[in-house]
Amino acid sequence: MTDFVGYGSYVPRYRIQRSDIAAQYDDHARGGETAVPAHDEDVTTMAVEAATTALDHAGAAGSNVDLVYAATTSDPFDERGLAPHVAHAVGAPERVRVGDFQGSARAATNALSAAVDALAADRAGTALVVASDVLSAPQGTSAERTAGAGAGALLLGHESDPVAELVGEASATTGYVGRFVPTAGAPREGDGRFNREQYLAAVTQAVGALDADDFDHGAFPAHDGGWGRKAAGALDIDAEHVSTFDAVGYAAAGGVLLDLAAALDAATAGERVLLAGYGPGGCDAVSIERRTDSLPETTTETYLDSKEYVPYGKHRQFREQGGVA
Amino acid sequence: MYEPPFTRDRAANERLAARACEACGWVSFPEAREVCKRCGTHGEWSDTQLAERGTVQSYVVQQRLPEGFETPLPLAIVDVPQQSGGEPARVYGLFTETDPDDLEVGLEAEAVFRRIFDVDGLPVHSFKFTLPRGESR
Repeated sequence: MTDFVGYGSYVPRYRIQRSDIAAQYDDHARGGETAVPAHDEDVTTMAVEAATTALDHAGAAGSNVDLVYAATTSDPFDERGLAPHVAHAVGAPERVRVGDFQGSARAATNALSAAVDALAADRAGTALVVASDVLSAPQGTSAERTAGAGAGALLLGHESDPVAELVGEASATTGYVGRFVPTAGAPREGDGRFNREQYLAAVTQAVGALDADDFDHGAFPAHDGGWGRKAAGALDIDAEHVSTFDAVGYAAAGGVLLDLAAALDAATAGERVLLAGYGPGGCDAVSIERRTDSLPETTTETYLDSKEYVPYGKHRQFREQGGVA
Repeated sequence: MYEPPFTRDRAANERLAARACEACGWVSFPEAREVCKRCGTHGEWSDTQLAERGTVQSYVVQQRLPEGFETPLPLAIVDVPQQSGGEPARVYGLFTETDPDDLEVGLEAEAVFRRIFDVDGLPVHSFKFTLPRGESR
C-alpha cells in the first residue's frame, strides 16, 4: 500500500470565542472557539503552509514532487484553481501533474484516493495532497459561529522508513445531501436529526467495508461538532476520538486533513488511525497505520495553542479583507 | 493575467529563490540584478535558495498606510541565510501578525506565505515575516 512520508497542518493564529459572536446577537453559544484567517491569509496561503510543513517533515524538496492534488470547498474563484499555485509555491517542477478537487468536504479524501491510485499505477513517485478551507457564513447565522479555517497536507511516496502507511480505503456513496451551500449563498442544513441519521449510516457503511475494526484513534470531521462522537459510538470501536472542532470550528475539506494530522500526531508507531471523510453524497473511510513516532516540526497542537483572540468586528473585517465574507 | 513584474518575481516572492554573485558572494534578493551591487561584476550569478528563518537587523513601525494594510505595521531588514551556506541575504520585508512591542533587533523571524495585494481581483502572494509560532507565543 501507499506510504506517507510526511504530513503537516496549518491553523490561523487568530481565534474568536463563539460566545463573543453569539453575544453580538444577544444570544448564547455552547462554547468553543473558531479560527479566523488573518487579513492576508486565504485558501492558497494556508494550503502552502501545510504543504511546506509536510515536505519539511519528509525531508523532501518541492522539486521531488510529481503530483499535487488540492481539495477545497471555499475557493473564491470559479476559474483559477488551487493546485497549480501550491505546486509553484513549493517549487514543484513544471512537469508536475495537478488536480483540483472541490464541491464537498469529501474532496479531501477523494484527492487522497486519486493520489494513491496515481502512485499504484506508477504515474507518480511522490505525491502531495493538500486540503485547505476558509469558510464563511452570513452575519448573525448559527453557521457564522463555527465557520472555521484550516489546512492539512500529506506527502505520499515510497520509502523504507515511512511515518505511516495507508492500509485500507472504502467508500459509501449514498447520494444523500444534508448540509449544502449554494453558489455565493449561505449554508443550508435542513433537518438536523435526519441528516445525522444519514451521516451515521454512510459512515458505518464505509468503515464497515474496511478490512479492520481495531483502531486506536478516530477522526470524524463534520460541520456539527457532536456528530463525530455519535459516529464513534455507532461504530462501536474503542478508539480515541480526535477532533479540532472545538478549537477551529468547521473547516470542511481542510478540516478533514487537519483532523487527520491531529490524529497522526496522537498516534505512536504501530497504532491505527481511522479517518471518515464525509460530505454531500457520501463518505470515504481510510485506515492508516503509524510506522514511526516522527512528528512534523510544527504539530497541530502547537498551532492550536499558538493563538490570539480577536473581537467580533475585527473578525468580520479580516474575513471581508480575505475575500470570503 | 499576472502582470509581468509579478510573474518575473514570483519565484523570489513565493519561495525565496535568490541569486548569488559568483565573484564576491553577495546575494541579490528579491530583484534579479545584472550587475553586482557590491563588486560590480557583470552577469555572473548562481541560483540559491534562502532559508525560512532569519535574524532581524533593524525595523521601523509604519503607522499610516493605505487601506488593506494592518497598522501599526513593522517593516524590517532581516538577514536570511542561504540553505547551502555562504553569506546571508539582506532582505527587506513586511511583518504580519506581530505586535511592534514584541519585536526586537536580534530576534529570529520566520518567512511565511501570505497575500500581499490583489491585482484586478487576482491575489499576489509573497513572503512576509512573523515571529515563529509555538516557541514563546
